[in-house]
Amino acid sequence: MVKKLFIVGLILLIPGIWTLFQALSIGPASWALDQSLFWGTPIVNFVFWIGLAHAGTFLSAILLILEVRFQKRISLVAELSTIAAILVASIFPLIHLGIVSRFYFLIPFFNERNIFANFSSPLIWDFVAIFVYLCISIFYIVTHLLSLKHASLLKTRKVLAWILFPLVLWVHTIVSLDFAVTTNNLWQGAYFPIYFILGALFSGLALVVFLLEVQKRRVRKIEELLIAASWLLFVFWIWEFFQKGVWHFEVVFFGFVIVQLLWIPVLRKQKAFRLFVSFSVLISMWLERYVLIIPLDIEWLPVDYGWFALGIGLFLSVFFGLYLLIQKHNPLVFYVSAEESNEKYSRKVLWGILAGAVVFALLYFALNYPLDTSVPLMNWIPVLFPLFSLFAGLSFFALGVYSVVPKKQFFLVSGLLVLILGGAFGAFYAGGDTNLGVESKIISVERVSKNNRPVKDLWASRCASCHGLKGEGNRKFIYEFYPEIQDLTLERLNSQGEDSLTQVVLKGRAFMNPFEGRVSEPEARALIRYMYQLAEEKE
Amino acid sequence: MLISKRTFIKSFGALLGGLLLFGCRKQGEKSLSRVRPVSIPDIKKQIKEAMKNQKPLDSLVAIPVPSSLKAFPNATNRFGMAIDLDLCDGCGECVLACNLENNIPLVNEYQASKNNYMHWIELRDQIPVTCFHCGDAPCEKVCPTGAAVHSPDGVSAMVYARCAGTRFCGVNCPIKIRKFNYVDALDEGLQFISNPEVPVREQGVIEKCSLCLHRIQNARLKAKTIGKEFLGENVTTACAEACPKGAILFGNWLDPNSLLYKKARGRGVYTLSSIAPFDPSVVYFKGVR
Amino acid sequence: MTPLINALACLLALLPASFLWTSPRSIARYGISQALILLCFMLFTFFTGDMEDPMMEFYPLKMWAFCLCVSTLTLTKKRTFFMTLAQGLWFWIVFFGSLSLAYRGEPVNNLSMILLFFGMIGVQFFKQNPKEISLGILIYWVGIWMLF
Ligand code: HEC
Repeated sequence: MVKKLFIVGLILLIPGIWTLFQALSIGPASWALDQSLFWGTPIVNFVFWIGLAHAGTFLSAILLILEVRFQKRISLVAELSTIAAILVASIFPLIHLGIVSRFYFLIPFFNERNIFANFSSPLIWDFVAIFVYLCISIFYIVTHLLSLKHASLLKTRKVLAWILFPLVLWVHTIVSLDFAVTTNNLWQGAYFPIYFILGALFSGLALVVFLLEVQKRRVRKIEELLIAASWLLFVFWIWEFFQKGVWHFEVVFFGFVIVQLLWIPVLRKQKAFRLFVSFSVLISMWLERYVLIIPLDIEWLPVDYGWFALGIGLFLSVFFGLYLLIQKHNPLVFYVSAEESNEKYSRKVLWGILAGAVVFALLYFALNYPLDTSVPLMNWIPVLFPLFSLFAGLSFFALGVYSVVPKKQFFLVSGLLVLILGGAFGAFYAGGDTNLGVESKIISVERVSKNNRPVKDLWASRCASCHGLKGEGNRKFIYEFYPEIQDLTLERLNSQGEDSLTQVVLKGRAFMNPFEGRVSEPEARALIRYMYQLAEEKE
Repeated sequence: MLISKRTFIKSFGALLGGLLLFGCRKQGEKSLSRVRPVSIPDIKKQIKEAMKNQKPLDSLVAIPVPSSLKAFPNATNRFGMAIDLDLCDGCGECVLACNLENNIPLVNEYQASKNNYMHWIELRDQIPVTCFHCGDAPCEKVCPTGAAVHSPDGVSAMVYARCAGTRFCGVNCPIKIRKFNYVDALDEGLQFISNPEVPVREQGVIEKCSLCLHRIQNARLKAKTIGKEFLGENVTTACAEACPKGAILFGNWLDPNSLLYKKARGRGVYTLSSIAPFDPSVVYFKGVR
Repeated sequence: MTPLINALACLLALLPASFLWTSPRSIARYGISQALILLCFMLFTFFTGDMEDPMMEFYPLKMWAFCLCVSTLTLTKKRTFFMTLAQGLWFWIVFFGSLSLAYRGEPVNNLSMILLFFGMIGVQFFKQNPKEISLGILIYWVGIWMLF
């Protein structure tokens, strides 16, 4: 079953990759958008997949903290699903960008590089939160795998679970703020953070039901959680109706009515039925995001359909690919329950690292705040908290791994990482200037010569009134000029040369006006070349 | 399984590679062949089409005359415009002037069929609507890269080189007047360059009314060279210049000698109801107060 | 929302708090009872509150969090832990709700958030709770509810 699904994933990736390249080469025009709908299906899929990434952490980290027993047997599957889902989710905002290569503008680095991350924008918070969530989720699962051999890592796992607990809720809260802070009154709502978290957990639980079913396992408690979440969400839908008067029957039907059928024991025993419910929940949650983000009827383009192939294909191939990889090394790993230990960090280490993390976050704040004091203090917290978590998580992780892996290996890997990160840091610090250069301000020569359109337009708008569209000279004006415009011939042009003619355009001569300031030097040159071309055509 | 793992992986890899190449192929060929120089009649045609399918307009509400910006309380300039609805008859001359002044590209047939034009000024129910240059602009608040910023002069500006195209500003604009460059107009042959002073926007960035920033800057430069403080004299926007009825006024809300300031006296000042909370710099005049 | 209705809401939220965790139930039934309580709060807000006021958008959620906070006083096991969590939920709702409302120009009440945050830290110091301290904490929460 696992292998089959892996192959299904790979096959789905074929249309998926096609979609990806279609989207990247054509840009946002390739999916359904217009001048009043700027966020389309990629954002729907992003919110959906990032929601799926929640159940993993919820089932493994939060229940570890709450000391719920059934968590132990399913934690690894759950953690793996988180990693795969975040990877899928993080592609969509990248594709969504108008200019994908400028994605790094969204990294809130210091302003030295003349890129000005706006700390009031929820997208910046999003970027930081998701990045940190991905990092710590990876630390968490690596610690889990290592702890199977080294019991001393169990305490690291517990600490990381504590760090992940608020962080996972943070991520979807921030995603909800992307909508809640806008001026669109269908998206406004101070209740959105909790509403979104519930939706995320709900869809994530449904996914885990499916993944466990693949392993031929079943955890009744998760089905109960599913029912509980469906009721809570139902109440939120009622509240949304009170607030905005919108009610989506299809969402409620798939997400609430069908889930209630789980109460019937006969149906609940059927594997097929449980799968049906889990898919129904996933459909409902996808639709919920869809009707929220795209409230009008739009006509889908092929790429809009392609996202499904891309998302599902990538998820299945990453999840089951990693699954097979891990299983190869340790065939029983998915069936043993995670161990517990009561070992704890010493107070000194614990508080030391936490204090370090606070100092790190405050330092970041102190270095960035003076550069733009217009941002309210409240808006900094969504950036500072993930940074705090990152520092703490990384420290605990490094400390734990250091104690179990061979020193040489550890220093090699961490040295490499420091080198890469340092390089990236330096590159950011040094470059990426967004001050407008002359080239980007005005059409450059290369741009002009690629096809002749722009320079033709320039000639038509600036020069043709006197020189004529084909360089033949405008009869009406010509009598008034002294000296007259000479006939446009190659000989005449060659006798003066490109450089001096460019100067004529820029500096002017007799009745020929100076164009300096109105056309740039490269444009003047391009115009002269165009005159050569016109002369050639004449002969 | 019918096929061995190795052959499967091989054929899969080949297929992927093929698709990769297919996806990366140049999309331009087809469009280049049908390139035809853009002419002013083309622009006029699209303006006419846009005017035929006008979007609805929010209701108008009265607001006080714009005063100092909250973010720049000490600034001496706050440029803005007023559109006199008693004079305006919705002829659309301002749209054409704006198109030519700011090198606004045409749109392809697909976008045109969906009534999506790049025009910075739109007529909605016969009333010209453009960016209102809100003093407390919602678009600027959510732009993650600082591409949408407010100048101390009260212009809500766009730094195209900083725009990554997240389109959050467009989403957050209550009147959806911001325009996104879905295609590379230059390559598609949709660009009419009539004014080299205004940069041509690349594919993937948002654009909108700049209050003819280049004209303001030129005038400021002139004032600087003769050592005068610049308060927005001797400059006007292209739309104001072109309006046959003189219904559009450009000026400085903080300068008592500005024509705009004087004309506002006694007039009813209005804006769209969805814009009213954001302290707009561009307003409508209608009736008397 | 008038102080009187605010006080009424406080009483309504206190009502289910005492018997929330008494009888053992399955997760699904717990979920349903939470949902129904939340629904009651929403109906209460809808019929007594001014729905034009954006502050009402998360009012029932605040009632719910307040109710959960108070209900932790009845717990016998892991009380401090759940007290922290419940206050965290309350803090979460108020903080992010206010953050989104701030973008719409609503005033932000920092003091209530600071008090809740210190409440979260504060309960760590009362590992064994005598009756008096429970009462003190209850008064602290009711104070936050009534004054902000
Ligand atoms: C106001 C009318 C007018 C406009 C507009 C104008 N020109 Fe001219 N141009 C003239 C006149 C008159 C001459 C002849 C001057 C002379 O020979 O000293 C001339 C001469 C020239 C020459 C020198 C040709 C020669 O044979 O020596 C060049 C090159 C030229 N123009 C380029 C341009 C370009 C490029 C533009 C558009 C940016 C332009 N001109 C716009 C009137 C104009």
